[in-house]
Amino acid sequence: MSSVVLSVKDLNVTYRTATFDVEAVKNVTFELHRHEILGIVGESGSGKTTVALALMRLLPNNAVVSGKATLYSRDGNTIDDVLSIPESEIRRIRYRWGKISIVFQGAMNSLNPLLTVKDHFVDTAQAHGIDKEETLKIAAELLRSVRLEPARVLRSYPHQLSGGMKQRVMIALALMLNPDIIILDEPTTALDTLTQRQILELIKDLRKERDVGIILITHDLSVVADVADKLLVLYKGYVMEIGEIFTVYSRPYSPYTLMLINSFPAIGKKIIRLKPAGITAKTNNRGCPFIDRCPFASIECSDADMKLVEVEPGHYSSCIKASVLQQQLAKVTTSE
Amino acid sequence: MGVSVPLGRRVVNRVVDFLHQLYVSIIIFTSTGQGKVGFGLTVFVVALALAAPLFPYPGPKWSNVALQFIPPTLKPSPWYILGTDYLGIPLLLDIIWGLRYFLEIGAIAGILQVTIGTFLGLLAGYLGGFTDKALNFAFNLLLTIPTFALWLILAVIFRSGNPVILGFILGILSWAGLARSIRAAALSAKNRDYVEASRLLGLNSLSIIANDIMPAITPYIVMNFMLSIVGGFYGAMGLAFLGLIPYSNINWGAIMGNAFYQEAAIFSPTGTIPVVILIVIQTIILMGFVYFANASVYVFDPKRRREVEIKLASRRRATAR
Amino acid sequence: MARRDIINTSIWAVKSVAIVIAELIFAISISFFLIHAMPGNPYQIILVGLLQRGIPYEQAKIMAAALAGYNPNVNPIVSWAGYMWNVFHGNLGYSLIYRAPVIKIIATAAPWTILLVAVSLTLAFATGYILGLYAASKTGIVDALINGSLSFFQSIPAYVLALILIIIFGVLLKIAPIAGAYSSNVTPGFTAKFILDVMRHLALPLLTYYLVIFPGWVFGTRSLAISITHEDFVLVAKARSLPDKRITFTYIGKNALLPQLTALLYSYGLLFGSSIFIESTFAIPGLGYVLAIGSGSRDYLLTIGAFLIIIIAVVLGNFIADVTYGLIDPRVRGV
Repeated sequence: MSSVVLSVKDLNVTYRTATFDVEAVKNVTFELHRHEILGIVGESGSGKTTVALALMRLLPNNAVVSGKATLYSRDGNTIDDVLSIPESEIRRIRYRWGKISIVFQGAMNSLNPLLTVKDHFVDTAQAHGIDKEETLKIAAELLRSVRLEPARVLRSYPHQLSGGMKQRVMIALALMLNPDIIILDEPTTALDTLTQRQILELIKDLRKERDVGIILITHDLSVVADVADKLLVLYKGYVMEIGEIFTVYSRPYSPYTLMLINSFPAIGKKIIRLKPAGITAKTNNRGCPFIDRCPFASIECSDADMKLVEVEPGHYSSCIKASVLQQQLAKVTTSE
Repeated sequence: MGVSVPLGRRVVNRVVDFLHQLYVSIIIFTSTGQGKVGFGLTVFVVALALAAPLFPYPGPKWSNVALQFIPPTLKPSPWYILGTDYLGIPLLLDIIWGLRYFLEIGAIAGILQVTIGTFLGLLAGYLGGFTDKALNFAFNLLLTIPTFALWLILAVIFRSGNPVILGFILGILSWAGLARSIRAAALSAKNRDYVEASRLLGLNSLSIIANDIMPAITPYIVMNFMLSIVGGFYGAMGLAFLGLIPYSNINWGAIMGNAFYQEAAIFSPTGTIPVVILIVIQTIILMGFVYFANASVYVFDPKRRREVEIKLASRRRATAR
Repeated sequence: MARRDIINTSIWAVKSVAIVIAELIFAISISFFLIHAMPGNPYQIILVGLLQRGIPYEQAKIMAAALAGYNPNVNPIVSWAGYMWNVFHGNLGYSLIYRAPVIKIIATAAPWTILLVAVSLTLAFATGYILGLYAASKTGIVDALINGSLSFFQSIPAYVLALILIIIFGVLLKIAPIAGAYSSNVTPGFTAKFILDVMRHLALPLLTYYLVIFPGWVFGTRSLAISITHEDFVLVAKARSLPDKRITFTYIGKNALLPQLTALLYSYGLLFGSSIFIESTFAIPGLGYVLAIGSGSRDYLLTIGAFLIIIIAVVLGNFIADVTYGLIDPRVRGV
């Protein structure tokens, strides 16, 4: 039985620029449990990384954030309103890295090229009040747990390590302060398939052995299918669907999810290509963002409020046609 | 396709399109505080320089030694509102005609520099191979020579204050830096995918240069042109200040040089005022040029232009509804 | 080191030296050309001067050629080679207004220029680098203030700046001497009195140089730091809750230092243009002053001599910069 570690409600992020505003994340709502991997999938530009940065409180100054996020920490403290507490409070409670950490896509550039791996651990430790001897012990242990040899790696500079090794160093760093939540943003992109496999195994071990909640962000459905427990489908900042992974895969309740799953090349499965219904979006703030590509769209979709509705226990969809989607789908597949 | 567009209509379309692009450029210029100041000042200065013939020329008949280096006054006539120079001639007239003089030098130098620099830089960057190596070596060779020192020496040889000559010499000496930047930009643009695509499509070299490479190098050209105007300004003033070219009262440097070296006017309280006025005016103008140059980088950025077009289009749609 | 690396490094070293030699020959050739292009014939003037002192014609011709540094009586190629030979042996001709070998004038003038340029460049770089890092991390009022005031200083030419400083500190406040490198009543030497006097006199010129150079370094470091700030590892450092000071200095600053240092090595050549004005305005007897005085008085051998020395200094300086850069970054050597 795992407990909730993070609860996010109606997360909205808008970037303000000199010429216009970009609404990157709209009303994102989800829950994350310990020993659980939540996979957030979507195309580029769907807002996945923005969600991660919002939770880390690392968004740039021109980002406007609204919504509520509550962190249920291991030490018993519940931090309400993670999104709106002031920066001074964030630093006082050691929120970043102490309670939540992140590993970015392609750790190619996540390490300071002029510092050794050891320096990175010492830096992090000093920022959080751990003394040097203790640090070296912890670092060696962490590196071993990600299957790296501490002696060699600690005195290496980033350019002396391979991509996979750097990724693992980043994971070790992310674990250093025993956070409640770890976010992995595209952890396997830019790695060869063999290394990908190793990293994924590592992530699965993390879920089993550590008392953390893991958010895995990716555009790669096969990664998510292999590793995640729950799936959150994001499109243009909106949550399209969220639920347990096998349920979502076998019974998708959103046309976008359907398109994602179907369009993924799989060996031995028929790929169904559906044409858009040709409904155009209105310029106001309502309506489904998928309307111009959706084969099931109708005029009501342009006024949809995109609220998540529970279609099965623990399975939510924002599509207004969710309930009839399965029948529509059956009609289409039998007529092919 | 049967109907072809008549010539008259085509010309009108071109003009309208050009004016629209101008309008977009102005919007981008005026979108920042710096840009507003720079654009406004530069336009004002250029207009004033072009309008100089409307003002009396500060020639010998205006000179009056009794009125040497007097502070601003409205007597004997409103022309003396900024005071006088070392000949007793109204400073206001010196300034207006001086603007014209300096801009002439800067413009000639700028045009020469940009033309030669762009042509050779493109040649080197686009053709590559031995031409590139040879030209690049030549650029580096020329860059070891301190341009201003050589300009000074040549200006002294020619003993001339003629703006065309000064501008010409400066332009001929100073193109190597721009050529090197353009070469680098052309080299990196040449290796981009869209150039490769154009080549595969069979487009000829000239159109590749015009359409694919020019946008990458236009910011350099504009920046450089503005900076060479500024350089010509400073330089011509400096040469006169040091007394190395014949004194001409419309060259503000001559006035300042005379005040400092000959008349030691700056050591008297009222004598300092004309010099201070000149310093203030010249600083404001040159600052305006620098701001204009900085803002012009954005004007040629296709992404920025696209953003503005989108905003204009959506505004038009909003009012049409 | 692998054998291939040794070969590549050697090729690079030979290439670098060859380029320097080519640049020196080019510079000396330009000087040779200028001497002949200048109106007034220095050789002739020296020759006449010697003849007037009663020296026999044949002997005078030889002496004049030795003094002037070139011999126009032989065919151009030989003359050019002779000039090149003379320059490499330190014979840059004879100054008519100082009545001494050009090289001697330059030897006394160069230290002043070197002193001013070296001190002001070091100060401006160090302070500009730090302010640039600081400015990169600020937005809003502080940023606008820094940008505005520095742009202002950048757009003022050196001699105007010098004039302004003279007016403020020399005339109005009367706290600094405004002309010369030292007072006329102090004898030169390594005495404390002399050194103090020199320092007082060099204060304003130094400040002028500093204000001319400083803004460029601030802007350069600032834009470099801003681009480094967009790198992933800076975002990760913020995510790791590292203190702002650590991020600014070790994550951003350290990565900005190397490119800026290499820029520094290449930048002092640009100062010689300003030196002409600053030294003339403050009457500091350095290379720039000599160049200006020489051209104003039509003492062309002196002018060209100073011009040539300036070019040689820039070429050698660039060479040192190239070598240093090659030693630091192995990719430049072809390794």
